[in-house]
Amino acid sequence: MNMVNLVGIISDFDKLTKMLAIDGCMQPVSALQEINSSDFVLKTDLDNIEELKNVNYIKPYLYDKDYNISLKHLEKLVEDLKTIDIRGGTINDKIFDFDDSEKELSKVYDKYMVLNKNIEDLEKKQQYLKNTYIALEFLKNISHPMEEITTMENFQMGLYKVPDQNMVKLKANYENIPSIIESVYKEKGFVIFISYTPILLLIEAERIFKSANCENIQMPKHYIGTAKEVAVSVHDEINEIQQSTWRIRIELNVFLRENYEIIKKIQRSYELEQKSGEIKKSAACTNEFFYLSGWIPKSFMESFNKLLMSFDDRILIITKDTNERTNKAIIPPTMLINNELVKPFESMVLMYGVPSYGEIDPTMFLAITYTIMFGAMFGDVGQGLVLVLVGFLLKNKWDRINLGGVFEILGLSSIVFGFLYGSVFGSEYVINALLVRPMQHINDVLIAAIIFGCGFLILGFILGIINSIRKKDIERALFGKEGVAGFMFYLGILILIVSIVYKNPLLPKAIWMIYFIFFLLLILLKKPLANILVGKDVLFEEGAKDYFIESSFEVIETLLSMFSNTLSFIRVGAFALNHVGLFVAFSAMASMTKSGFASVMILILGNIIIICLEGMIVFIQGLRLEYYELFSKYYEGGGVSFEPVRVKLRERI
Amino acid sequence: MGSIVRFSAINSKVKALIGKSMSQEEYLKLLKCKDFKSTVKVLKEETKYEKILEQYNLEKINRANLEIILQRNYIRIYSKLINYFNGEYRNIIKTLFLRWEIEDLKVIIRGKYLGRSKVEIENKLIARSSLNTINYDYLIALKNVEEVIDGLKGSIYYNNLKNSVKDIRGKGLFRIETELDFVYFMSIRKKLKHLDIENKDVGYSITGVEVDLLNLGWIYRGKIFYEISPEELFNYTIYNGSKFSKDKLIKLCYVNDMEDFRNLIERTPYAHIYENYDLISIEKRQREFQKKYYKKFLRENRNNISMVMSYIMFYGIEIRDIISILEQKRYYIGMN
Repeated sequence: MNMVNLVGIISDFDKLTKMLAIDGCMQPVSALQEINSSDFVLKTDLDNIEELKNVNYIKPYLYDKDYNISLKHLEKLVEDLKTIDIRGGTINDKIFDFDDSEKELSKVYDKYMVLNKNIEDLEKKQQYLKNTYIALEFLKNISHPMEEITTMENFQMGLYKVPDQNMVKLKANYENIPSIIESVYKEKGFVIFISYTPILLLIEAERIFKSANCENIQMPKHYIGTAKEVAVSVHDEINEIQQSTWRIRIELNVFLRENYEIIKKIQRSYELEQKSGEIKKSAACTNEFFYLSGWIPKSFMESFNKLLMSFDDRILIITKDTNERTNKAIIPPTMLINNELVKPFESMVLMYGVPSYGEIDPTMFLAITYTIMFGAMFGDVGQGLVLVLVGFLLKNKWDRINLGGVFEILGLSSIVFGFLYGSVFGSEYVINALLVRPMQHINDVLIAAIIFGCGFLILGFILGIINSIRKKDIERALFGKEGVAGFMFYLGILILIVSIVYKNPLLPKAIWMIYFIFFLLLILLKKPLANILVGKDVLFEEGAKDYFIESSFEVIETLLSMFSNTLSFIRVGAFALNHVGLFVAFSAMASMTKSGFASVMILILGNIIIICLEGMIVFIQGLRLEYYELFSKYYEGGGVSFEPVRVKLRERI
Repeated sequence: MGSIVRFSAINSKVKALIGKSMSQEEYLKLLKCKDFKSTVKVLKEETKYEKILEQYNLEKINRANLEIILQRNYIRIYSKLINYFNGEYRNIIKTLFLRWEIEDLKVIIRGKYLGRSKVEIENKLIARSSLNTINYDYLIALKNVEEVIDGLKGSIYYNNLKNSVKDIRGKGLFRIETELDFVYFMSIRKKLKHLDIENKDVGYSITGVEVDLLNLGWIYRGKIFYEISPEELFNYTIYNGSKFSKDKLIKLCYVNDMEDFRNLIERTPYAHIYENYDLISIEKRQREFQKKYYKKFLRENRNNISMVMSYIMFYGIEIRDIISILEQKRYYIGMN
């Protein structure tokens, strides 16, 4: 990981940040913080004189572009685009200049709005006419012409739409309202009513209606004839409006289709603007120059340099490796690099923590050990195949790439162990076991599990020691219970046990005793020993008494945890047995039923339960072994992940 | 899901939060301070608000800023409470949150009405959070009240507001603001319907008391200060209160004088609040009444929604109390 500091002319800033966002190679950090450290130092020579002079006027870059309204307009357009179905091709085009995108957007949006406004107006009018039609339906038995009703001398007829809960209020207070009210139509949420009010009391009545949030629907005055006749013409008008709405909708559809690519292009451009804004916010500037800092992984440096070439040396670069940096306050982020097969397991490592920069990435180790353990616990050809299928679906159908990938690999492992155990959907009669039938060799399976566990733990020790050396933590590497001292002690115990089992004592008892006590003493005295090695003056930082009390407990804990960590792996064997056991229970139930159909159903149900329930338990138990027994040996996970600012590269349609 | 499973975690959380609320002694300490600055200092150094205020330079702070800080902290705590719920209960907590979103919406609309700048409006907003149902940035960027109302299309507020917008030039924002309050109580009522009987009842009674108090306050002010016609008064009341039926509300709206008003509420728990007509002491007694009411639920610690609903209200009153004390110090009002 490199820290890259960039200085350039402010006019290049927008283009640079946008290209960085497209390239997705940089995780920006606060440039001011970096400038305050001694890592952002410009060489004092004549070429840099302008940049150096400007450092005195440096301030945080103020990103104040406000395009919230444009975003909302864009959102409306994109929302409407979803209604049309267009396939084929990819869109990769972007507009670099912000003002151009604003112009382009307003050009499209204005045209869109004209059509949309037309539709809205028509729909409003249609709704209004529908309400009138409802009122006219109510009045259809009146033989007087409408023009006489709407132009009465002393009374005014009104048509109102009111929320239903407010209608309740009007009704409750009816005696105090100076109008005759007749509700003519009810729908969820609102009521339409006709009112007859004496002209003299009109102002008061209207005030009351307004306070009840009544919407006045003007009765049409230009119609002539009885209510029944008017209703017919209103109905025709509604139909006409509906047809016009359809016509404009089609027009709008055509417009969206024609402008699909341009809208998508504008969308990309705004995304690019937002992302480049993110980079800009961390930068510093003067009136003429910008100062930008960020992490770039070494593997991305080549493409980054290529990107800079388009600026013809106008941008100054200071690149520093993490080792050369003096400012330790900004922690370098970690980028995990793993091959396609192992990559899904990264999510399991990240659940525990991100590896610190420089720490060994445990993904590969976890992927291998976890896959083996899962297969050993859940060895079955048929059920494994189901897992592979589920994994395939998760990956390709439901877009859960990580989970799907893990399931696929675990399923394959399960299939392999299924052949070794000779188990297909729980049944042990279909194929022969290539290696062992767990239920018939219970002890062997359990012992094998522990032996495998020992192997894993030894690997864990080695990785832990390497990590501690990388971090230059001598105390932990040499004398810690996860370091060389602990490792030698553990190896000693293993060798002793093997020699006792095979009745072939390698060393006399006294020497073994000295060997164990020596390494336990090393663990006990790890701090003073490390301090001596490093050359520190103080042996115990917080007093000898406290240190020894704490440390002696640690020694006891070491003994206990080595024992329990090793035995813990017995569960791998136990679950292999359990797997067979569960199926035996279901097959016994199946054989007890007399109907063939029922027994088949029980077996199918049994398999489903085994896959879901036991599959989950095994998944969790394996994870527990990884996190608790193994990660505690070698992995801290206290890092930060590398999260570059990046726009989605291209969209398939 | 059983009520124990559903509520024990949130009730424990609420209990822990109550432990952090202001004690009687702390209130007294604040009251005894000489001036605004020393009150703020005591608030910062000797109460549980220490952590919240430690990042601010209180030398330069004024009452309005402090109010916003306290309110925003309130919202921060509120937004965390949502994580204890799922399903219908989550919806209830989200809907209860509308109250603060509505307050912000009022700030935005009022700001646009008075032609305030974007920054001025933004500084007054308190409820920006993941629980928002509206797009703050968009609404703030719009030019005037009409555009803001139009920009609310698609939100739960639009239908109630679309008719009121025509009146703002002549009549101001009164109708818009009342309609927004209606939306809140309507939404709560709708959501409460989906709960089981116990929670529905307790939810109705807690919001019912709030509605009653608002209605009484409204009728009282309408009669004394605004001289609004009884019909309009009634139309602006909120329904589904706890102690007042429709008929009783109508009677209250049509009282001739305040003596009648007092007689009508004599047999309700609110009689004490209106025992004299000084607006400030009415507010004080109302807050006391509310505190007592919510404290009862908080003490009972029942496995239902009452605990969290009461806490939300209780904490809101605590902030108002603190602000009142600060106002008293700021404007040199006497201790009583």
